[in-house]
Amino acid sequence: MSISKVDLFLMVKGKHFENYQISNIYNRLTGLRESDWQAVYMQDFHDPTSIQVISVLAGSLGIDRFMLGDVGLGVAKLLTCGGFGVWTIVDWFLIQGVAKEKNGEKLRQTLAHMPNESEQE
Amino acid sequence: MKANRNNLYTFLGLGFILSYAWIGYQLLAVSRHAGLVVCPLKIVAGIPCPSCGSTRSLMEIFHGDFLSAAMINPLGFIIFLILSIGPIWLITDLISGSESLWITFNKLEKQLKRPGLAIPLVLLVLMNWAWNIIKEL
Repeated sequence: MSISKVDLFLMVKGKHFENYQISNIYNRLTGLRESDWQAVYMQDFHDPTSIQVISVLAGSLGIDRFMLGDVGLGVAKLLTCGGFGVWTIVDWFLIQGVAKEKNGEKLRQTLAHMPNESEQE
Repeated sequence: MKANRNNLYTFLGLGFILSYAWIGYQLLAVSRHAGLVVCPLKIVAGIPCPSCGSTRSLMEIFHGDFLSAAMINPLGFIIFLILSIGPIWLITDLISGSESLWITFNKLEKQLKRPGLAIPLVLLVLMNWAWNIIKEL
Protein backbone atom coordinates (compact mmCIF):
# COMPACT_ATOMS: atom_id res chain seq x y z
CA MET A 1 0.00 0.00 0.00
CA SER A 2 1.37 3.41 -0.90
CA ILE A 3 3.02 5.46 1.83
CA SER A 4 0.60 8.36 1.42
CA LYS A 5 -2.38 6.11 2.16
CA VAL A 6 -0.68 4.66 5.22
CA ASP A 7 0.14 8.19 6.38
CA LEU A 8 -3.48 9.23 5.85
CA PHE A 9 -4.67 6.26 7.90
CA LEU A 10 -2.29 7.03 10.74
CA MET A 11 -3.13 10.73 10.67
CA VAL A 12 -6.86 10.15 10.85
CA LYS A 13 -6.89 7.07 13.11
CA GLY A 14 -3.55 7.33 14.90
CA LYS A 15 -5.07 8.58 18.16
CA HIS A 16 -7.21 5.44 18.32
CA PHE A 17 -4.15 3.31 19.04
CA GLU A 18 -1.43 3.02 21.68
CA ASN A 19 1.87 4.67 20.77
CA TYR A 20 3.78 1.41 20.87
CA GLN A 21 1.40 -0.13 18.31
CA ILE A 22 1.95 2.60 15.71
CA SER A 23 5.23 1.34 14.25
CA ASN A 24 3.84 -2.19 13.94
CA ILE A 25 0.72 -0.89 12.23
CA TYR A 26 2.86 1.20 9.87
CA ASN A 27 5.01 -1.76 8.90
CA ARG A 28 2.02 -4.04 8.42
CA LEU A 29 0.02 -1.51 6.38
CA THR A 30 2.86 -0.67 3.99
CA GLY A 31 3.01 -4.38 3.10
CA LEU A 32 -0.70 -4.61 2.24
CA ARG A 33 -2.18 -4.80 -1.26
CA GLU A 34 -3.80 -1.63 -2.64
CA SER A 35 -7.15 -3.43 -2.94
CA ASP A 36 -7.35 -3.98 0.83
CA TRP A 37 -7.11 -0.26 1.56
CA GLN A 38 -10.88 0.29 1.51
CA ALA A 39 -11.58 -2.51 3.98
CA VAL A 40 -8.94 -1.23 6.39
CA TYR A 41 -9.96 2.40 6.14
CA MET A 42 -13.68 1.71 6.57
CA GLN A 43 -13.14 -0.03 9.93
CA ASP A 44 -14.94 1.53 12.87
CA PHE A 45 -12.86 2.03 15.99
CA HIS A 46 -13.79 3.11 19.51
CA ASP A 47 -12.97 6.77 19.99
CA PRO A 48 -10.93 6.97 23.21
CA THR A 49 -11.96 10.59 23.81
CA SER A 50 -15.69 9.95 23.69
CA ILE A 51 -15.27 6.81 25.80
CA GLN A 52 -13.44 9.00 28.33
CA VAL A 53 -16.36 11.45 28.44
CA ILE A 54 -18.84 8.57 28.85
CA SER A 55 -16.66 7.13 31.62
CA VAL A 56 -16.66 10.39 33.56
CA LEU A 57 -20.38 11.00 33.11
CA ALA A 58 -21.86 7.50 33.30
CA GLY A 59 -18.98 5.36 34.53
CA SER A 60 -20.75 4.38 37.74
CA LEU A 61 -23.44 2.70 35.64
CA GLY A 62 -20.84 0.75 33.67
CA ILE A 63 -21.87 2.33 30.34
CA ASP A 64 -18.20 2.79 29.33
CA ARG A 65 -17.56 -0.93 29.72
CA PHE A 66 -20.74 -1.84 27.84
CA MET A 67 -19.66 0.39 24.93
CA LEU A 68 -16.29 -1.34 24.71
CA GLY A 69 -18.03 -4.72 24.49
CA ASP A 70 -17.09 -5.88 27.99
CA VAL A 71 -20.68 -6.73 28.83
CA GLY A 72 -19.79 -8.96 31.77
CA LEU A 73 -17.66 -6.29 33.39
CA GLY A 74 -20.33 -3.70 32.60
CA VAL A 75 -22.94 -5.73 34.47
CA ALA A 76 -20.53 -6.15 37.39
CA LYS A 77 -19.91 -2.39 37.44
CA LEU A 78 -23.62 -1.62 37.26
CA LEU A 79 -24.56 -4.03 40.04
CA THR A 80 -21.96 -2.66 42.46
CA CYS A 81 -22.69 1.07 42.00
CA GLY A 82 -19.52 1.36 39.91
CA GLY A 83 -17.45 -0.98 42.07
CA PHE A 84 -18.30 0.96 45.26
CA GLY A 85 -17.15 4.12 43.49
CA VAL A 86 -13.53 2.99 43.44
CA TRP A 87 -13.64 1.16 40.12
CA THR A 88 -15.36 4.17 38.54
CA ILE A 89 -12.46 6.43 39.47
CA VAL A 90 -9.85 3.84 38.44
CA ASP A 91 -11.56 3.52 35.06
CA TRP A 92 -11.42 7.28 34.46
CA PHE A 93 -7.68 6.78 34.09
CA LEU A 94 -7.61 3.32 32.49
CA ILE A 95 -10.49 3.39 30.03
CA GLN A 96 -8.62 5.18 27.21
CA GLY A 97 -5.89 2.54 27.34
CA VAL A 98 -8.50 -0.23 27.30
CA ALA A 99 -10.21 1.33 24.27
CA LYS A 100 -6.89 1.67 22.42
CA GLU A 101 -5.95 -1.94 23.22
CA LYS A 102 -9.32 -3.11 21.88
CA ASN A 103 -8.81 -1.09 18.69
CA GLY A 104 -5.36 -2.57 18.21
CA GLU A 105 -6.76 -6.06 18.69
CA LYS A 106 -9.56 -5.37 16.19
CA LEU A 107 -7.15 -4.05 13.55
CA ARG A 108 -4.84 -7.00 14.15
CA GLN A 109 -7.73 -9.42 13.55
CA THR A 110 -8.77 -7.60 10.36
CA LEU A 111 -5.22 -7.59 9.02
CA ALA A 112 -4.74 -11.26 9.84
CA HIS A 113 -6.94 -12.23 6.87
CA MET A 114 -5.15 -9.97 4.42
CA PRO A 115 -2.11 -11.25 2.54
CA ASN A 116 1.16 -9.37 2.69
CA GLU A 117 2.19 -8.10 -0.74
CA SER A 118 5.90 -8.53 -0.15
CA GLU A 119 5.42 -12.13 0.98
CA GLN A 120 3.51 -13.05 -2.16
CA GLU A 121 6.22 -11.93 -4.54
CA MET B 1 -6.71 -16.58 25.86
CA LYS B 2 -5.13 -18.15 28.94
CA ALA B 3 -4.10 -14.72 30.22
CA ASN B 4 -7.64 -13.40 29.74
CA ARG B 5 -9.04 -16.33 31.69
CA ASN B 6 -6.61 -15.78 34.54
CA ASN B 7 -7.41 -12.06 34.55
CA LEU B 8 -11.11 -12.79 34.82
CA TYR B 9 -10.60 -15.31 37.62
CA THR B 10 -8.39 -12.93 39.60
CA PHE B 11 -10.88 -10.13 39.06
CA LEU B 12 -13.85 -12.29 40.10
CA GLY B 13 -11.96 -13.63 43.11
CA LEU B 14 -11.12 -10.12 44.32
CA GLY B 15 -14.70 -9.00 43.64
CA PHE B 16 -16.15 -11.87 45.67
CA ILE B 17 -13.77 -11.26 48.57
CA LEU B 18 -14.58 -7.54 48.60
CA SER B 19 -18.32 -8.22 48.35
CA TYR B 20 -18.26 -10.67 51.24
CA ALA B 21 -16.12 -8.29 53.28
CA TRP B 22 -18.67 -5.54 52.61
CA ILE B 23 -21.59 -7.82 53.54
CA GLY B 24 -19.79 -9.00 56.66
CA TYR B 25 -19.13 -5.40 57.66
CA GLN B 26 -22.79 -4.57 57.11
CA LEU B 27 -23.96 -7.60 59.10
CA LEU B 28 -21.60 -7.17 62.02
CA ALA B 29 -20.77 -3.53 62.46
CA VAL B 30 -23.58 -1.41 61.15
CA SER B 31 -27.21 -1.11 62.10
CA ARG B 32 -29.27 -2.03 59.09
CA HIS B 33 -30.43 1.39 57.96
CA ALA B 34 -27.51 3.66 58.76
CA GLY B 35 -24.85 2.24 56.46
CA LEU B 36 -21.99 4.02 54.77
CA VAL B 37 -22.95 5.53 51.42
CA VAL B 38 -20.44 4.44 48.78
CA CYS B 39 -22.39 5.17 45.60
CA PRO B 40 -20.66 8.03 43.74
CA LEU B 41 -23.84 9.05 41.92
CA LYS B 42 -25.75 9.39 45.17
CA ILE B 43 -22.96 11.35 46.85
CA VAL B 44 -22.48 13.72 43.89
CA ALA B 45 -25.93 14.09 42.39
CA GLY B 46 -28.11 13.05 45.30
CA ILE B 47 -30.17 10.62 43.25
CA PRO B 48 -29.87 6.85 43.75
CA CYS B 49 -28.26 4.71 41.03
CA PRO B 50 -29.99 1.62 39.55
CA SER B 51 -28.37 -0.69 42.08
CA CYS B 52 -28.67 1.52 45.16
CA GLY B 53 -30.32 -0.39 47.97
CA SER B 54 -28.99 -3.75 46.89
CA THR B 55 -27.02 -4.07 50.15
CA ARG B 56 -30.23 -3.45 52.11
CA SER B 57 -32.01 -5.88 49.81
CA LEU B 58 -29.32 -8.52 50.47
CA MET B 59 -29.65 -7.97 54.23
CA GLU B 60 -33.40 -8.59 53.95
CA ILE B 61 -32.73 -11.80 51.99
CA PHE B 62 -30.31 -12.96 54.71
CA HIS B 63 -33.00 -12.28 57.29
CA GLY B 64 -35.47 -14.31 55.23
CA ASP B 65 -37.73 -11.40 54.34
CA PHE B 66 -37.97 -11.85 50.57
CA LEU B 67 -40.92 -9.51 50.02
CA SER B 68 -39.26 -6.46 51.53
CA ALA B 69 -36.05 -7.42 49.70
CA ALA B 70 -37.96 -7.20 46.41
CA MET B 71 -39.55 -3.94 47.51
CA ILE B 72 -36.17 -2.36 48.26
CA ASN B 73 -34.37 -3.49 45.10
CA PRO B 74 -35.08 -6.65 43.06
CA LEU B 75 -31.46 -6.59 41.83
CA GLY B 76 -30.56 -7.93 45.27
CA PHE B 77 -31.77 -11.37 44.17
CA ILE B 78 -29.45 -11.36 41.14
CA ILE B 79 -26.52 -10.31 43.32
CA PHE B 80 -27.47 -12.99 45.86
CA LEU B 81 -27.49 -15.60 43.08
CA ILE B 82 -24.10 -14.48 41.71
CA LEU B 83 -22.54 -14.30 45.16
CA SER B 84 -23.81 -17.71 46.23
CA ILE B 85 -22.95 -19.65 43.06
CA GLY B 86 -19.92 -17.68 41.82
CA PRO B 87 -17.31 -18.40 44.50
CA ILE B 88 -18.12 -22.14 44.59
CA TRP B 89 -17.86 -22.34 40.80
CA LEU B 90 -14.61 -20.36 40.84
CA ILE B 91 -13.01 -22.58 43.50
CA THR B 92 -14.15 -25.80 41.79
CA ASP B 93 -12.65 -24.55 38.52
CA LEU B 94 -9.37 -23.62 40.19
CA ILE B 95 -9.08 -27.00 41.93
CA SER B 96 -10.06 -29.15 38.95
CA GLY B 97 -8.22 -26.93 36.45
CA SER B 98 -11.27 -26.78 34.19
CA GLU B 99 -12.44 -23.67 32.35
CA SER B 100 -16.22 -24.06 32.68
CA LEU B 101 -16.73 -20.65 34.35
CA TRP B 102 -14.68 -18.86 31.66
CA ILE B 103 -16.61 -20.63 28.89
CA THR B 104 -19.97 -19.88 30.48
CA PHE B 105 -18.96 -16.24 31.04
CA ASN B 106 -18.11 -15.85 27.36
CA LYS B 107 -21.33 -17.52 26.25
CA LEU B 108 -23.35 -15.30 28.57
CA GLU B 109 -21.55 -12.19 27.30
CA LYS B 110 -22.34 -13.18 23.72
CA GLN B 111 -26.00 -13.73 24.60
CA LEU B 112 -26.26 -10.40 26.39
CA LYS B 113 -24.95 -8.58 23.30
CA ARG B 114 -27.98 -9.75 21.28
CA PRO B 115 -30.33 -6.76 20.85
CA GLY B 116 -33.36 -8.98 21.47
CA LEU B 117 -32.15 -9.65 24.98
CA ALA B 118 -30.18 -6.49 25.65
CA ILE B 119 -32.95 -3.98 24.96
CA PRO B 120 -35.55 -5.53 27.32
CA LEU B 121 -32.90 -5.86 30.04
CA VAL B 122 -31.83 -2.23 29.65
CA LEU B 123 -35.49 -1.18 29.84
CA LEU B 124 -35.95 -3.26 33.00
CA VAL B 125 -32.89 -1.65 34.60
CA LEU B 126 -34.15 1.82 33.63
CA MET B 127 -37.59 1.06 35.10
CA ASN B 128 -35.95 -0.19 38.26
CA TRP B 129 -33.88 2.98 38.35
CA ALA B 130 -36.99 5.15 37.98
CA TRP B 131 -38.59 3.17 40.80
CA ASN B 132 -35.47 3.70 42.94
CA ILE B 133 -35.67 7.45 42.39
CA ILE B 134 -39.38 7.52 43.25
CA LYS B 135 -38.73 5.44 46.39
CA GLU B 136 -35.85 7.80 47.30
CA LEU B 137 -33.59 4.95 48.39
